Amino acid sequence: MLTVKGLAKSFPTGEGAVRAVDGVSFSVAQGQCYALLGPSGCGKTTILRCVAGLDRGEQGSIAIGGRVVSDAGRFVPVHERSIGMVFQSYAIWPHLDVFDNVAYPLEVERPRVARAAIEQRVMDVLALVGMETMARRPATRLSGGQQQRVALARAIVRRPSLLLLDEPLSNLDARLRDSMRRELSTLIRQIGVTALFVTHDQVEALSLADRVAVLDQGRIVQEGAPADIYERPKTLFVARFLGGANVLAGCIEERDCQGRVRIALDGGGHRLTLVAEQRPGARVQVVLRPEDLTLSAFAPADDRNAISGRIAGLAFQGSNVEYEVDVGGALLRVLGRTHADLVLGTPVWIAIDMRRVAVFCGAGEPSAADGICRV
Amino acid sequence: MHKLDNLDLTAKLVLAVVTGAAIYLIAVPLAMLLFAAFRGPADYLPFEPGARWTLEHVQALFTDPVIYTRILPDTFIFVAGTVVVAFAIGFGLAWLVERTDLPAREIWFALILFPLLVPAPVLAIAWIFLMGPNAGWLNLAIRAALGLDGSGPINIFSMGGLILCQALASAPFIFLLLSATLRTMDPALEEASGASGASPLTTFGRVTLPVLLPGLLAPLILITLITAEQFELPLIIGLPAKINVFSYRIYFELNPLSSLPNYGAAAALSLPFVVLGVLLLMLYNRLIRRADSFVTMTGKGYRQRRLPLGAWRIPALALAALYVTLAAVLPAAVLLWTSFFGYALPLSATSADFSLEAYRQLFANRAFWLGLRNTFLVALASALIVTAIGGLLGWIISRSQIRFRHVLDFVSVLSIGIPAVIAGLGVMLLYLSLPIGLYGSVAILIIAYSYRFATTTRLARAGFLQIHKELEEASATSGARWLATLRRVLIPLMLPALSAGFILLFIVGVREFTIPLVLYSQDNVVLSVLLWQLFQSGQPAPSAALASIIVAVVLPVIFVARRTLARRTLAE
Repeated sequence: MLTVKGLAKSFPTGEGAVRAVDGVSFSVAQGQCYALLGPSGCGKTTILRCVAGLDRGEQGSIAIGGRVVSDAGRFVPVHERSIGMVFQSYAIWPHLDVFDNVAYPLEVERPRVARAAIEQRVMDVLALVGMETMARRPATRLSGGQQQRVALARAIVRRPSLLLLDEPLSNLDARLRDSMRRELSTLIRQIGVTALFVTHDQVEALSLADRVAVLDQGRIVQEGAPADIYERPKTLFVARFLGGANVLAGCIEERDCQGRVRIALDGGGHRLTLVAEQRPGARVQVVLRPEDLTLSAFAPADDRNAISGRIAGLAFQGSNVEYEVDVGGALLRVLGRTHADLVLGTPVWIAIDMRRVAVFCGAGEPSAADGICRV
Repeated sequence: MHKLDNLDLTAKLVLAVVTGAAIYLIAVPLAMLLFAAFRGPADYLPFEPGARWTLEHVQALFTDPVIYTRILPDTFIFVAGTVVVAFAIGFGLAWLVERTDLPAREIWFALILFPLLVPAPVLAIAWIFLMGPNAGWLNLAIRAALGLDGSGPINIFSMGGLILCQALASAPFIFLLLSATLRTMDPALEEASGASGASPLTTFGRVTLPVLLPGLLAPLILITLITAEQFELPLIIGLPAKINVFSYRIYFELNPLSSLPNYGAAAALSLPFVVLGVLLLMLYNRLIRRADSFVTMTGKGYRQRRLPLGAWRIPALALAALYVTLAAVLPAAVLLWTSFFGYALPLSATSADFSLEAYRQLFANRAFWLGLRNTFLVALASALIVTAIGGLLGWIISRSQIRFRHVLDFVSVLSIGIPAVIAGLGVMLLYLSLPIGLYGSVAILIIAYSYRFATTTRLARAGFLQIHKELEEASATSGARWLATLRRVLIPLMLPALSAGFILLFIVGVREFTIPLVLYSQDNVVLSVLLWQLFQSGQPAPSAALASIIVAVVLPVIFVARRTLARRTLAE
């Protein structure tokens, strides 16, 4: 449905041009929901705007539904592309009411769409997003969630081949975001439209998309199904970006014939034993997700899978508490149940589910720039 | 952001036409001016057969002693004096209306705008009726009160009189510029001073003024430039006082008492003026950009909390009333009275002095009806042209990435730096040289008026800044072409800003006196020029009647203007 090949675009800055998009290729199958995930400034919005035709890439090609809309010699202007777009600000026109906002794409369509057909289609799509009773409400009197629905209705009313969504939920408050995310997911699947959306929120990407591309500095660093990316991050960047993870530096002490390694963590004298590919002597970064860690006040039976520390901070979050545990030089974030005994300064043990620990090569610390440590 | 090759054909066409029109209306007359300055002999047009290249005009400019002994000093004193007085008045009024609990602020706001709305000759004539050395009302009153004889004590026909009148006329302009600045100042800054135990006066001196200082510099430069461009009062009040400023001198070269017009000398004299104007404008732009970044001005709508005047309320009211009396109430009264009673005075007049003869004469005058039609026709047409072109220029400058957009920005700002007398001269030279029969017509006035893009462009830019770019992009992603986006999204959203610009330009057009005077013919007379002619030919009552009619027409505009302009955008 959508094929992007070798897309590149740079922006001039004070110190020369910056490659905002640096040779990005991906394709989205018919009916698929595809997410571009990355931190701000990673180039994801620029890609979306190039697909829409609001920006023009310097290199590469874009094809929508088999039709090349942008390459070296060709550029189909935005209004001639079969797209619908939901903007980050929703861009609901304040001088028009809900109905007129949604009717607009049909009214500017050539050849003209009959008035009766316009009314029918607008009311249908308003019903779809649950706004049919507010058709004549002025745009200036809509809540955030309602604006989002209108923006979505306007984007899909002319049945585009491709639906583009630019940070569709970032303008909503946290509570509304959760319910709108579920609603959006249902809607996109219900109408079966091919969708491409960008977001910086990993929860949004993982829960909405069929496929996710993680971007960093204008390049796709990993692409795959959400579960796949979450379970098997290829790089430290992806692991960090997806999990809000703890990262500890260490080095491989030894390796047995079954592929298990013992890692000595920097600072605290703690050791972990787990399956990893790195050779003895290599500097590594160990990624521990907060939800894979279990806090207890006593040493577990198998202390090879546990490290000890002291509670250095805690933030009450209702049913859970986010603890910060000082494990000798490093602070680990651990999610746990509220526990009366665990107060500031309490010595604790953290049990680690070793199957879920990811290990990456690399220094991370300036002291071991060579990537090798003495055993 | 739109690059040129991303725009569709209609868009390119429209933008090309707009760009061409803007350059034609501003740059071509200026280019003619430049040519004329270096072509001679004196009474030849630059491209007339027999004309040749020459430096004589520029040489004359540097060697003519009159310029150094009279024109430069007179211009300098006039400008400096006017700026100081007008700034003091304008700032004081703006502070009282915007930052204090002065009673009836809305009424003051409307009344203060009066001098800005009526043509300057109306004011000049009214002030001559009030402050003429012999029969001026104020002089008669003062002499009666103090038992003096002879003439005076106030003599409007003096440098002091000219400065006072020009300052009264220009103060509302500063008032508007500064009231916007004062409105966006965080009131907490002043409240903190009050909470520290400072009196309103101390707060004003120790907090308000220093905080605003960077924001005051830019308006100061603008008013300096605009004062230097003034022509109407220097002609009507300054000339009898033998005060000789630059703008008048240019007019004089075109209309010498006893010889042929000297186009070359007028053009050469204009050049340093234009250069100075451009330099001041560049400084102004730079300062504006800096003032915008000044942290205390956020532009956010603060909930207005005003400084309580307390015991100062009475003096404050008296000051505001003094200005409004001198600048609006008395001028309107003296005009209306004179139109009915001629030279008879309010206290001694009898019903026998009352007469409608002045109006009868005026209505029987063909030139009055022609002038009425021309005034509105030209003001409307030029306001439409400039609003359309300026609005699209604003779009190009703020929304496109087209390479020449900075040039357009500069060209449009340039229009502030072109005095009306020079704009008139440039257009005159152009259409005297072009054999298309526009000279002397109403159309030439429409063209000549239509060079003031700066205000509309600025208003439009400010308007576009408030319209999220995605509102425009959403139209394109909905499948709309550029023209449909313009018509269905941009124009409706820009309507407030555009209509403010339109009203402003319409008022400027109705007020215009200098351009139609320079380009005057029997057929294209406008009311302001007719007023001056009547006054010059010694017909005080008909000229007062005409001035009264103009005021009556303009007064309703005040209320429209107050709502649309002042509150919204004027100071952009």
